[in-house]
Amino acid sequence: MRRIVYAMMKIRQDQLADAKVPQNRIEECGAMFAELDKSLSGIASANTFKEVMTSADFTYALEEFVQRQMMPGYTRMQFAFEPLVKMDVVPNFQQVDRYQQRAGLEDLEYVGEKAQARPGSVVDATPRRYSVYRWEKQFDFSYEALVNDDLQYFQNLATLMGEAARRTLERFVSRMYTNAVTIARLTVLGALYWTTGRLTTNRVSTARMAFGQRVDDRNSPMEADLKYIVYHRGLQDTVSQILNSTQVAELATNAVNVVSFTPIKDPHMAGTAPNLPWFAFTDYNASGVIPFVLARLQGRPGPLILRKKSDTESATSLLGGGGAVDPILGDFASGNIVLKVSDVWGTYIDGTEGNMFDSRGCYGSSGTAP
Amino acid sequence: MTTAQEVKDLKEELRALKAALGIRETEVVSAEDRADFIAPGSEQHVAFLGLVPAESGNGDHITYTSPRTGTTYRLEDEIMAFMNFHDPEKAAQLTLQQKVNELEIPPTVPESAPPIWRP
Repeated sequence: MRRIVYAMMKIRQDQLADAKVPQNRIEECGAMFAELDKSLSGIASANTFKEVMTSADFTYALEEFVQRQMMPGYTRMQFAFEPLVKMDVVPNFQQVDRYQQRAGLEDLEYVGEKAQARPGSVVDATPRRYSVYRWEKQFDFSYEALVNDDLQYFQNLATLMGEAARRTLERFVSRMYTNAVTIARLTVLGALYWTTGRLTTNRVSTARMAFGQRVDDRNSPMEADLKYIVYHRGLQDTVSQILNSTQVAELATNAVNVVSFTPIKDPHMAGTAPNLPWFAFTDYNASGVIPFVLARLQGRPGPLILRKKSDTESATSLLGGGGAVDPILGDFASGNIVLKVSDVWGTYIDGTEGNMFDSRGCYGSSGTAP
Repeated sequence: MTTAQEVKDLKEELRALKAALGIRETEVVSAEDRADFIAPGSEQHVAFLGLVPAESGNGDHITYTSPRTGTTYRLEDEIMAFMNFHDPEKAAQLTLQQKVNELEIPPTVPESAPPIWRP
């Protein structure tokens, strides 16, 4: 027997002896190495040397057997913010100006005989200026990770990227009214804009009354009805109770519930129970009172997924013909495959007004007063 | 030239430049000047919430004395708004308490409010 094969045999036998393997198995191991040595010398054996699995090995195999499987991921909580923001399309990344007429003309005046009418005046339009910005994230994967992905972990990558883009936009919209500047402005505007009460039927009625007292730039009454209640997700049951009950819910009595609104759950709104904030907004389609605006770039109505082109010029197999470079080959230097999800949006940003395009469309509460 | 004077001059130049370029500042009307302004906790706020200051122990009305200020209020209308309730008195009492809390707890910006996003 060759010295190297003999050494390997002894090592293996010692290993087996350390593992307290039965003697017959140690001897079987010696016979196998002898068979191996013979086959290396070209001596044909009556027995075909092949991998065997003894009953003892099978026990180990059972212990080591692992089945891998992907379980479905989490379902994302969604925020249907579309009714709250007026969509605008801008031609490029430069700032755009928008003007809104927020007052009518003056009332007429009695004019006596032979008298001349006094000149009237026009209230200046309210200007708003904003622009859009790029929102992107880059993800790169190694060639090995994608090839090794027998579980198809990366298969739903496009879906996840789309979800990430949507979630970012949702957080952006949520922050339009939850940010400190917007709320500080609402606070300054007085009790018809910001309050402290927790969400109850009575307080929804108070919010509706507050909207009912809105006036335009000329102090004339205007339509600004409460349409949407946007609430912290912790208020889900409170909202359902208020809406679904034919009675006033929180008083546990039988008074008829006359409160109606469209609820919108904002999963991104921060708050600690029981002080959970809630907001009320107008329907800009019905009243022209636009609480917020969301600007998008012309030709970019939604997110895009971009894949970086491989910078390898050609792929030629030494065993056969060449061909076009498969994108999975990725970057020439590192083999990385680079993807990017990209979207473009913006809104009105002001140091005083916050993100409110028109504060008359907003009413909110910190939810601190019981 | 002092630093203060330099800053003043720069601000003046910036204002002139903005005017030349047609960049308009947002005109923000003072909140107090708006016709729909009601100061929180004010008499107008009391009226808006349908509350009336009252004397404690007034047997004719349901009253609630604030533990914060000691002020006593009653509802302006404690009949019509609650006439469909099985227990109008209880409903009125709870509503009164809610309204007084809302009146007296000063409006603040929640600590959880994030800063405004700026590019």
